[in-house]
Amino acid sequence: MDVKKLVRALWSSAWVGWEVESNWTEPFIFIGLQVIRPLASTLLFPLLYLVGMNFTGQAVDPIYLSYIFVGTAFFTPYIFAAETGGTIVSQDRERYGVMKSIYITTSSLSIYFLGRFLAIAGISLFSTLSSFAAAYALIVWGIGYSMPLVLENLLDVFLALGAMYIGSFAFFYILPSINLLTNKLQWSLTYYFLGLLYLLGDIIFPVQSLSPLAEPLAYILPTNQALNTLRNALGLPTPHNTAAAYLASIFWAALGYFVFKRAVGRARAKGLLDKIGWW
Amino acid sequence: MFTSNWWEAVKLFQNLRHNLKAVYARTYVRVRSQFREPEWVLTESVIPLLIVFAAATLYRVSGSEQLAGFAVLGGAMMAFWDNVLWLMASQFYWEKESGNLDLYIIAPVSKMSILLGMSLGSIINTSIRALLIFLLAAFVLRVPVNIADPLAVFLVFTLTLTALYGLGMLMSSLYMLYGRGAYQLNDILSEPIYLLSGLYFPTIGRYSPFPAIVQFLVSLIPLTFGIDGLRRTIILGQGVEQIMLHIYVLLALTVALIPLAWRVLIFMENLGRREGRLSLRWM
Amino acid sequence: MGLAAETVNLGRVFRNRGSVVQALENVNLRIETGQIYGLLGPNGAGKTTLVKILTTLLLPTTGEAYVYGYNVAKEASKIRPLINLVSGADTPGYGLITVRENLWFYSMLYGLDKETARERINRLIEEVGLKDVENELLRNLSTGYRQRMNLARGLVNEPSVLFLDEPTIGLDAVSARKIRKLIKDWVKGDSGRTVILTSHYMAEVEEMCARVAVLNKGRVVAEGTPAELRSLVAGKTVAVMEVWLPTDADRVLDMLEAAYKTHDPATNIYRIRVVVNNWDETANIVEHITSRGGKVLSLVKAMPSFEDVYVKLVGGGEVVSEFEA
Repeated sequence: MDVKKLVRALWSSAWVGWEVESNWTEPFIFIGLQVIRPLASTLLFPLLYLVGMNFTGQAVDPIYLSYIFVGTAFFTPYIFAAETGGTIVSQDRERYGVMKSIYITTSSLSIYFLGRFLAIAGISLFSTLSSFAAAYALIVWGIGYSMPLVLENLLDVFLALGAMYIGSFAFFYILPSINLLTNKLQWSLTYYFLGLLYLLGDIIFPVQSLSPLAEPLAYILPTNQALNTLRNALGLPTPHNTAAAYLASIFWAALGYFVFKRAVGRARAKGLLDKIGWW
Repeated sequence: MFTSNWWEAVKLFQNLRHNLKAVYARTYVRVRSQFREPEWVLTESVIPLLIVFAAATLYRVSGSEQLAGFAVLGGAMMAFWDNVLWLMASQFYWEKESGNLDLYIIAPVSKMSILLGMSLGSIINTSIRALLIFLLAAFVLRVPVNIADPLAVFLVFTLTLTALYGLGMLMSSLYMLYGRGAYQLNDILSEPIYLLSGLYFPTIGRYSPFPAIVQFLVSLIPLTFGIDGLRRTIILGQGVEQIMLHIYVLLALTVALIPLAWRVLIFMENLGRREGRLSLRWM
Repeated sequence: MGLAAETVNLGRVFRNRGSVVQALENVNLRIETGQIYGLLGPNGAGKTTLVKILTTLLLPTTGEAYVYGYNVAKEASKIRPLINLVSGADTPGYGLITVRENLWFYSMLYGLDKETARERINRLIEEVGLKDVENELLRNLSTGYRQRMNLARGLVNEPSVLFLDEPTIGLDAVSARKIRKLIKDWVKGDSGRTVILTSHYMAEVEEMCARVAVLNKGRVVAEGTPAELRSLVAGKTVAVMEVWLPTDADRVLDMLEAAYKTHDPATNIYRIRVVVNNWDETANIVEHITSRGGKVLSLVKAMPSFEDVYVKLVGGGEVVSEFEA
């Protein structure tokens, strides 16, 4: 494909993504969706932990509080990717009916989705960092609990963020692949996915705490080692494996891309690219 | 004079009967629709269950497993809040998209009857789901249930639902004229309400992490006192005497929200007719 | 016969973010009972706005509107038991309940008692041709059946005035014909029944309506029986032409008043109709086209149709959809 054309298609898809997702023209909605909502997600589990400790009269462990806090704050890019990835098919195919028009262009749905993902990645980075800062301020200065987070290694932070975004790219392709082939799950798939990750993804506790048998999942799922690498880069004594973070994330991203291409092919064969209504 | 009063009474009775038929019909549609695809009761219970398991595991990992019941109750009540947001507050948005809203407006029936029917249907459907979530989570997590006063549980639960669906009716009325904006507002509200209303941990009283002013404001959400009351009566074994404040607050919210919803509904209908936004789509 | 609906100097303005749209202006109509009354006009003419006002969905900005003598702004609750609305663009109802259940649901909104509701729904299912699908979930119905269900729903309260907003839009010719027949039969069934119908389709309006109001840009530009409206082009002739035009064709055609055209972009051939006072005028039209680089491929004389009346009233340049009667 002509590189210029590819860049143009990618750019216009990212622009559409920004226009659809950002709502920047309506500041209240923009702030609500991109700042307040992720902030609430980020605060939920750290506060649950604090209240639990107070209720049972135990001392708060600042390391574990920070573990939960970093996990929930930096789970945001995955949430954004899964939420948009989980609804993009119902929006573009069924509601706005643009998917078929995009499919028949000289570009491809993969490029279009990549552009949409880039927009989401940019927005989610802003949301993650703003909710991280606001939630940190609320917990440390507002409620008065310490969280020993220090920026020990900027390179590791970037490495961890890189792995996270590769992993969220995977979600952005896997969820639409399923929704392309069935419209039964378009409201719930995202939340099954995210719910499972809250349980297994080292977001609020290490997956091994469910059962020692679950330990391999820490190296299979894309979130675990990426988040643990970040925790370590922020000064927490969390065991981590950066190479495994990349291996798992790249594996899932490649799988996501492959599954997506297959799903588009099958959707075309079954006449589902422009299918609307109940089926 | 007597004849005129008698005739008025007959008309009032006929009107009431007509509206009750509409309430029943709207309830029927909602309940019947759910049971046409009963698998949804189960599949839609999975999402709250996953979050409940995650929250309960966090309690366990941090050594406060006796609070897992808090998360279980939160998961069950989350079903009601989601229902209020997506199938009450934004229901008129869907109705507008399909053309039903126009037909509701021109039907010779109080629009409040439609809302009441929607609420009753929702309560029946969601109660089944909430019970399923509660039973499954309580069984898997072996949550000790400690009900000392069933009347207290009944009172808190009933009042929570009346106040919560009163809020749903109010939001539905407020959203009547709005399209995509209402949908986005729901998106914005869902998680902050999970946090503030105390679905998974107490947000009012001694253990709340929030300052008094925030506690006061969040107590205006019926879910807050409702969940706290249920937590006290189902998990901590408290009776009516200990939850009188909860009953008063929920009662006050019910008494305030339902008539307010009614007034707002009439106001929004008239505003919509004036501004031409009742059947305007794609906003 | 009394008046089913009446408008007096009716106007409606929409304001949105600084823009002002005059959707209706000084509309005066008197619609008598017992007939099908047509509202005809292009997109944005104000037909749907007028229907919304008469069905109590929208308030007028100026003037007054009455249904059966009741003021739409002040006495909506007295009007609502008397009317119903069927909009062809909508698919009301609930997908997860059956056709019969949907009809029952709407009958309850009108407070019908159990027996009356059952009897009426049975009859409507038969009359409208829903017997085969009465127990199907609404979401499984084809567009044609959905429209029939929508019509049955509109009749469930036996309204005195039924408003039909583009009732056959998107339907195939056979389904549209069935719907038109049902409407005509329904009106014939009782002298007190009135239908107020909006449509884009001239032939539909001409075939069905006793009287027609043509709206354009919010104003009534003509009103009368189809025959009266047709007399606006009486004594005139229509030149039907096939014309090839170079690329700036639109400007060439726009200069021909009251022409409307179909266009084949592959060949750039236009089919146009022009109303002329006498046949000699066609020479000027041919000259107009050829002098601008176009070619006249064929020229046929025709009698003016109702569509020519419409084009004369609302202006040319519009591709007009036809329907198979």
